[in-house]
Amino acid sequence: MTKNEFIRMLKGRISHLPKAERRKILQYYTEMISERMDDGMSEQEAIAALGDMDELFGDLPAPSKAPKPKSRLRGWQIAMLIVGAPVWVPLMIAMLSLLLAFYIVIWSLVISFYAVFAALAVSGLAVIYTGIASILSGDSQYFFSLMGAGFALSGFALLWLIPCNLFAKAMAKVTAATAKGVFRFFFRR
Amino acid sequence: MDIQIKRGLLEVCVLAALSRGDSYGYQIIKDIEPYIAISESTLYPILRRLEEGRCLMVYSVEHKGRLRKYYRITDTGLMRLEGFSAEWQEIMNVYRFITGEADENDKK
Repeated sequence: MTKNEFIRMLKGRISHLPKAERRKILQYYTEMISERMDDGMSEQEAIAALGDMDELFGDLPAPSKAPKPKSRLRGWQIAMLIVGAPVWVPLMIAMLSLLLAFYIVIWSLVISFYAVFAALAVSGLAVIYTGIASILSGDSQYFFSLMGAGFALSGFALLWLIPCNLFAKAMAKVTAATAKGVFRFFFRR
Repeated sequence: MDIQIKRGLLEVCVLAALSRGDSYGYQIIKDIEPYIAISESTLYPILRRLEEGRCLMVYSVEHKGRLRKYYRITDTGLMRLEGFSAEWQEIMNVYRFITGEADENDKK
């Protein structure tokens, strides 16, 4: 075997390994052949002396003897998918419905949080408006109590907005994470 | 020789060869060959494992217009080598048990 033939065969044997490892192995053998030839061996002798290539792998994964027949496996998978459709299609619909229900629940919560804010804000503004309108009646006690209540309600509405936003952000994260998880589940490769 | 035992011994042999000074692949083979069968294909995974275990480090030197990889033993490697010498006594005890020498000694 010549050096070129050997290198070609070696490349075939290690094609399943990562690129960096392949380069290291090729460099190693090239160096070793040169060393032996510098030592006075012929190319053939040097290559014969390199030893059983199966030993090269050690901790590394050895090449699989027969490459998997990809197309046949695919066809078999497709057949199973079609035959199994009555089982997995309803299951998938159920799973997606569950997911949808989950989303509806959490976003209903978010909406109700904001509804509380809106109710507080609107009633606060309405009370303030009533207070301003009560100036005409000339009853100062009535005016001040209404204005006080109105500002308290509005203030509380603004404070309520903080947990609302935090909650909405958290739910947005949950939505994105579950969607990602579902996507990964189906398109892992 | 059993493949596992051989692999373990070869690792120690490579470390022993390097403990006498930095060396390169072919020189290591020539140093070890008289004592235990070794070829390039056997040496590669051993060097790789020793490097991964930080028992040796690698550097390249230009030689005759090409690069030659040199290996240098690290402190971890030296410790491994010392550990083997200590273990050897245990191995000899096991050997005596296997061959029955230990029993004869007890009888005496």
